[in-house]
Amino acid sequence: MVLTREAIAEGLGKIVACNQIVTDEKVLKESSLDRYRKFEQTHEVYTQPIPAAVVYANSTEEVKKVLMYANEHGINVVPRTGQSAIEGGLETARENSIVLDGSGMNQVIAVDEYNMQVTAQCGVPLQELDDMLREQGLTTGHSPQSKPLAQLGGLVATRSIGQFSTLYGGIEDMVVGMEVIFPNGEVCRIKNIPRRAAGPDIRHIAIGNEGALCFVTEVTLKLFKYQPENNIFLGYTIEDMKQGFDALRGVMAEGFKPSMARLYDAADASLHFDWAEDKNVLIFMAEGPAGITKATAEGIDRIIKGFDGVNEVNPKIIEKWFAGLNWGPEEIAEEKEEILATNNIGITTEVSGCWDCIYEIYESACRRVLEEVPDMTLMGGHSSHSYINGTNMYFVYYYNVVDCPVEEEITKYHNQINRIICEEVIKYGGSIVHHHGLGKARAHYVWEEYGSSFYMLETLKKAFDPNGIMNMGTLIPVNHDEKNPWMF
Amino acid sequence: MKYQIIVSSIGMDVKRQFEEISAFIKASSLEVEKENTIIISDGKQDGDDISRLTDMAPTASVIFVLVKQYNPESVLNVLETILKKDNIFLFGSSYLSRELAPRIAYRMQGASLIECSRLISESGSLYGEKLVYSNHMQGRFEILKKPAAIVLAKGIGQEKVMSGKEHEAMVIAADEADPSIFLDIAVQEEEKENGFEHADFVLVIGKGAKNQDTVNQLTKTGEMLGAAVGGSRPVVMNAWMPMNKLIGASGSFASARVCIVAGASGAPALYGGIKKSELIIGINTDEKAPLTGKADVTVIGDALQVMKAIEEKILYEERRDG
Amino acid sequence: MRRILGCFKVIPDLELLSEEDWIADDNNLVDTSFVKSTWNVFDESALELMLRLSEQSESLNEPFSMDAVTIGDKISEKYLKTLHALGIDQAVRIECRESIQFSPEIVSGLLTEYIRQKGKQDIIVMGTKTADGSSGKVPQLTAEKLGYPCVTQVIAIEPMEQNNIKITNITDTGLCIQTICPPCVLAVGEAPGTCLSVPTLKARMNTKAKPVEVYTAGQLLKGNLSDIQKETVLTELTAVDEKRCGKVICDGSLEEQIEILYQSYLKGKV
Repeated sequence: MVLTREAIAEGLGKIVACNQIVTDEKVLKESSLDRYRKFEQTHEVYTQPIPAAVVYANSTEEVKKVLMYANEHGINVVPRTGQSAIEGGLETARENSIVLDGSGMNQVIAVDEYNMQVTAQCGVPLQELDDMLREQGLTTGHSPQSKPLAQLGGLVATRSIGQFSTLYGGIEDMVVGMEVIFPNGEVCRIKNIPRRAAGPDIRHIAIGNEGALCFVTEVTLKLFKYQPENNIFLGYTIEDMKQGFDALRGVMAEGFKPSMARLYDAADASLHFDWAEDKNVLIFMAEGPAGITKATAEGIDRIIKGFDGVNEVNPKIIEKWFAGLNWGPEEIAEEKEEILATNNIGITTEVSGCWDCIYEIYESACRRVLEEVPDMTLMGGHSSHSYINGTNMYFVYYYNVVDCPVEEEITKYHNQINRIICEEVIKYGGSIVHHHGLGKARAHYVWEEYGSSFYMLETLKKAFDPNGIMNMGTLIPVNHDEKNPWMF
Repeated sequence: MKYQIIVSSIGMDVKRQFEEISAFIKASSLEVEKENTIIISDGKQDGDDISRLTDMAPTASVIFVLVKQYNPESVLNVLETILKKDNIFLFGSSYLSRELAPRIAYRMQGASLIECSRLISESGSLYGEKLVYSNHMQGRFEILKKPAAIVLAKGIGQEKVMSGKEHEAMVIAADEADPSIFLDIAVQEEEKENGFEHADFVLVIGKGAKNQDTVNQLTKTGEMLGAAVGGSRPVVMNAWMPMNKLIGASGSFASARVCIVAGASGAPALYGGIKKSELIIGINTDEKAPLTGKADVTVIGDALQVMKAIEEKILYEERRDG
Repeated sequence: MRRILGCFKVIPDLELLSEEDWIADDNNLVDTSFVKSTWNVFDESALELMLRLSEQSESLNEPFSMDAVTIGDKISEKYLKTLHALGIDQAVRIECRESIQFSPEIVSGLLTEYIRQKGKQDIIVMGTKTADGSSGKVPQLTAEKLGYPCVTQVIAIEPMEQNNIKITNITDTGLCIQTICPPCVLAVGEAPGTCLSVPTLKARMNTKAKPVEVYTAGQLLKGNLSDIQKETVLTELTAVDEKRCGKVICDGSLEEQIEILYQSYLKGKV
């Protein structure tokens, strides 16, 4: 029997206190989407089903009971913490969903410097955690651009990655143990150990599950020494973008591990740097013990200068620029004002590929978007996470929304651009999503992304969420138009 | 060299302008006599008001420049005849002053300085201080020519006017605007937000309120406590409060006994609008917000929760005393 | 055809400076060389109002030609090209080796000479002041030098019949709406919703080859920059320090915190 919204709120009232349940219409509307639908959000237009309630859970027990309640009654649950999602992961795609918010579970449980581990609940904001650790000379090393907003639960659930990943790795390299809860009420704790070979690494069922399999309530992360006094910044302009990718590859293949290694194409560079003058830009930061940062910086400098068309940039400029990079409520409020005034909006889509195809992905996607999508005002991007065997490509694009009702912007522009990018990436053998998560947007290309391994993802979903209540539409779409996958 | 004081009664509180100018003169500690006071008026006052305004003036001699409908060109023409080349002109802080001062100074081959907080005389030279670089830096400017047309900065503070007993008023009618240039002029009077300038207690709501509903609740709480409630720029630009509630640069300036800033980080543009307050209390979830260093005390917590608790406490204490 | 000239300044994005960057150098300037540039916000509004006026007047069959001018170095060329892509006919930069940051006399002098030499403008529109220099005098001085009327705190401009324009501006009393017969100088103040439109890449491509005109201050003033008399000169620049006690109440329950706040600070004051 399908419960009414009122019945759902009433049922929840038997599990948590009344002031933990929000049914205020404005809050529910804002909880029905995330920044994937930035244009709609800015205009306060809500096209997704409005959830029945937002529930703020304060404990593992409460999360467990809410999930079991939803599981019993077939109610869709969207797990949430910092609300910084940008791929539709927070959209309440089913009628009368419950948004289960863990931001109230905000305790840092233990800072264990001897074992270099920190344990915290899912609602701990990363900025606060890292600021506190830095005062003690420690850091998680995790610094995504959403840091001022994001919380640990979401950061783990989306397989997030930070600006210093080239040294510290992504969240998957940082997680030690965790606690997760499944819709049937199973509370599973994975202990803190450096490594084990006792079967497959089950942490990876939760890391990146995007709320489609379980709710992450607690996580233990590795700690690193915080030694910013040894940071060395390097910057260059480079004339040719392909050479830029080869330069990044050169640095990685030689075994250097800068904490930051970025390549901006001229278009994206023009948004950040006055001095780029239609050239591409390479930026590096070496971090760690003094001897290592010095050697890293010198080594990188030698490699980069071996390429043609390279000019050095004053490192102080790079350092100052980097300090202003993160996005907090201030920047979002300013952006909203600009979007409303100009009808121009900027979005990102990040993908990855091995060295031998990443330039082709970048070049063909940019070319196709400019040819096929109207009203584009900027198309470009940057690589910001490199590995021994490849790198990511973070497409940045802006367009004017012209003669188009707010509800249609996503189909006319945003989804088309995503489709083109996904098509080119699949064609060249890259991955359609590097770190933002499949969400609901790129879930429509999950079959192309996984190929034959889709069986493994699908089986996980069937096994852990047999009643289909965990963030439906994320990872595997619920309504999928094969012919027109951009219409959803 | 003497001071000539220029204020406007058109939509402006004349007494307050006089008090600000008095405070400015005191802060500037220049040994300069006052010559006369010029009041630009649109004649909406009747005879009583003219005499009331004259009595308030800080100088014995008062000249009313009467316009039917304010137009800068008409007023400038009159000012040219009554302002003296050797003098310092002190303009009250207003849009009108900022519009007229540079122009009259130029016409009289003098100098102007807009939004000046203090004048200093040193080694025979005259200097004016004002904020530049988005209020992050203070500049000291040497004023190179006379006359010197100085427009006061907002939020100078107030000093009671030492007004003499005998006053003498003169009225000069300005010409109407040239109808071949100004075809028609109509002013939609806005409800004057005097609340902030005179309020003893001000509540400023910042972007940390995050939504209309919280802003409404905070406003209600503030009003219950008798506060004049305003908002930071992000709050008004999100239309959570009307524009005329803006506090800080481009908006109102408060010099309250108590100013509570709820959910704002304390950026210079806002801070400039509250810094003259005696007591600044911040409420913020972020201990590292810039406001923490610039407030007298900051309570770390959620804006609405803390304000509601403050409301409860104050009302409780009032009931207890009453 | 009527002509409208938008005057603007490209400034460093001051919001990107952190507290320790606010120091004056020996030239009484703050080092902003490492910071990205941006439109001065009031000038940006002025340019957007200019675009809207031009668009509206097209439908009235009384078009304006739009020009734009800035006093700036090569960095401003990117902005001028953006204006070309937005439909500005002539985008001009005037190079001036002397620092103009605290010299509204030089800025207004150069603008006036440019207008006198390069063709009469019916409407000259610019922002009320810059974020860095903040003199708040350039529009008024330019109006005086040209002998034009000047309206300040403009927030909207609309075309009317017979070459007139309807201006909305903020006054001490409230909103003023007036019909004016140009020529005139308009200073744009705090006008919500006037971020500059964004040109499409196609528009940029179409105007890419259009050159930016460059003049030097020397050319315009025929070497007589020193003839422009300064009214004021900056002699000292210091950082604003506004530290108060900065006490923080964060321990204990909310009730306990409010008790401390009341007893130590609020009692007797509210």
